[in-house]
Amino acid sequence: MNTSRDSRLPHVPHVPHAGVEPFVFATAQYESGDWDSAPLVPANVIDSVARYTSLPVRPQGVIVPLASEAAFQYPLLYLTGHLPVRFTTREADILTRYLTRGGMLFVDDHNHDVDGAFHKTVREEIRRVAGPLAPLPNSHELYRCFFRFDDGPPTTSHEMNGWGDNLVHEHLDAVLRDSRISVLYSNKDYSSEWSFHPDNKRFLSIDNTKFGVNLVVYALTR
Amino acid sequence: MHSRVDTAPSGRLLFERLARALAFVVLGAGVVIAFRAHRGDDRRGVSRVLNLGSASATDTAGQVADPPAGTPRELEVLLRVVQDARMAHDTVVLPLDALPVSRVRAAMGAMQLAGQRLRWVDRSHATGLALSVTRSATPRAAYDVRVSRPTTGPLTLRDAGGLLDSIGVALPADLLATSTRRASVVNGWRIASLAAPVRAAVGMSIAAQHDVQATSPRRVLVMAQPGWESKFTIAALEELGWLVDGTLRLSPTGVSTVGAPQRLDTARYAAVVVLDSMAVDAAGLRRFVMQGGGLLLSGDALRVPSLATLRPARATEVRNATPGALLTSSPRQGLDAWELAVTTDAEPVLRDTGSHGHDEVVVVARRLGAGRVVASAYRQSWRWRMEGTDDGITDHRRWWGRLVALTVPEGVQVVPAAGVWPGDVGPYADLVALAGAPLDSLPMVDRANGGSRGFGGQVPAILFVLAAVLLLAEWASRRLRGVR
Repeated sequence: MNTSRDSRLPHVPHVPHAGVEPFVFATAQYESGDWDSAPLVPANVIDSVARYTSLPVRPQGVIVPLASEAAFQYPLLYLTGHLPVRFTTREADILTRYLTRGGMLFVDDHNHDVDGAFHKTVREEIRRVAGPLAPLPNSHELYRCFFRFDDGPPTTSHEMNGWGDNLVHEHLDAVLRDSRISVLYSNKDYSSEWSFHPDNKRFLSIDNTKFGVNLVVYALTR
Repeated sequence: MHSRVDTAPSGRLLFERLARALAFVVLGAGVVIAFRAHRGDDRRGVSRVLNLGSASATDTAGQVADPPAGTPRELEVLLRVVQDARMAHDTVVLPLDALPVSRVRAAMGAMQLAGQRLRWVDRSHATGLALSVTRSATPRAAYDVRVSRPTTGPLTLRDAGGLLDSIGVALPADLLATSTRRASVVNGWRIASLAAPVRAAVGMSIAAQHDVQATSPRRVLVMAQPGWESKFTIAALEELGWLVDGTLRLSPTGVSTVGAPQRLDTARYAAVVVLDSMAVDAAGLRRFVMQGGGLLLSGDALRVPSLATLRPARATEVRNATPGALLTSSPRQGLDAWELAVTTDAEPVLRDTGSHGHDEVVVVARRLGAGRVVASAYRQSWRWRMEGTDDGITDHRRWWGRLVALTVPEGVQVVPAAGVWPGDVGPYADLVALAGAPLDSLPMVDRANGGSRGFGGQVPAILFVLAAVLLLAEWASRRLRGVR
């Protein structure tokens, strides 16, 4: 088994903490496509987790190559993009093992387009490494594990902005493993919705990143 | 010429006629009785006395062996009764020299339910003995053993390990005596530990309890802060079949609940798992352990100040993980761990080879009241599952299963023995419940009522012999006076 770290992986020192180790938001980096299309999302989600919860969270996120076993250090991975996705053999192998061991992958379609290249290709790749996606009921624990979203996933302002499929998607899709979400897939374009500087939250009447907090809380507690 | 008949004395002729007539009457009566004896309708109420033999629930040594695997002779006798259609309407009477084993008692009960009339005569001189063993949720002891017995004869109590020498003296407060003629005494003991089956014996009588009531459920309570360690520990325990409850505090006002957490009680939880350095109800945990619950302190939980009096080891400093060791055959070296200073009343359970090549204590256990406290040195064990080899997920799961099993009282592990009859705790009462109260003696009236072994069964034969004698006397009388 290859234990070497990928040279492109940002160095994350492994320091023992007296309390619970802080949560680290990790963005998945893959060979194909544009994995870095939403660079402001991690900071925004981290800000919300720190703002609304008492969970210890590392101020900066990390970028983890899917081809590296370093991915196993981060049991929640965020993956997005606009372009077609084709996992390399190494990436598919790592991701399969990652999900088998209990890791959770959150995939968001930055195109919010069911006819888009990202949507079509990434769903095929998810099927290959984890199995078929199925609609996640809007009554799922994900929608009430911290903030309550009684109508399911919150609608984004980007779903009907003239781009993409111009549809409001009623639910998210997921692959469940032992009744836990293994892969969560969204067509709602949270990558655009959350792509702003955290300081600008003060201009929002309702913080639209609250669902990101639920995502992190669910991954940490279920 | 006069015939010889004419010259015979009239008294002799009268005798011959009387003997002939009497012989025919007796012969007819014999035929009628024999015919009626073979009619089924006339056989109701007949008692059949059966001897079952001597196999019983007791023996002279006071140590009863488990019932033999094969069919005991008593069962074969009862089986013949059931299969014999001629005995379907009989009342079967069983004189019992000793209390029968559970299977024979069960068969007697089944025959009663099936309509076969069955009575038994008590020749066993058995005593009404009953045994009760339950888990006791008190700090002083784990089991409550009670025996109801007659006043006469010494009582011995055994478990699977032999004579229970931890009984001590019966507590006066538990000694009760009734004023009835058949006085009984209830003895009560509180015993720290025992292994089923438990047997109480007075003389030849034994009561046994094979299944000690297991009150500890397969449910654990996890106390932790939300994080990867709590997530994957809960996952591992759930994958092992444990029901997991927990409350994970997410914010000053928000919590995330796992399962259905309730008040800490040994009736609901077998063990509590504390994972992090956090505020805990130390008094509640102490009470839980003293009452028989298990407590597992893992990693940073060993640094919780309020648990200082409970923990079996003191965590001194962190021993850093060996880089890359998670992918080797000694994966635990790849985890951070606390150096443990074992307390005086605790015992090291597991030592792992540390990074310096010498063994380090990593798991320690101590008894506290009726429960146990176990300490595990490792921190962030979730990395074993996620960052280890492909076997890491199985090894991580097994590790947590072993740790929790160390804390759990034995009661959870008790499994009812196969073929155990619940009535063994009070065999005499069980027999009375199944076969009714015993007869004081063999039913003499029924025995004379035409049973095959009684006098009534020989009446037709006696009548036939009597008829033959009468006819022979009549014939001899005629021959002696020269008449054919």
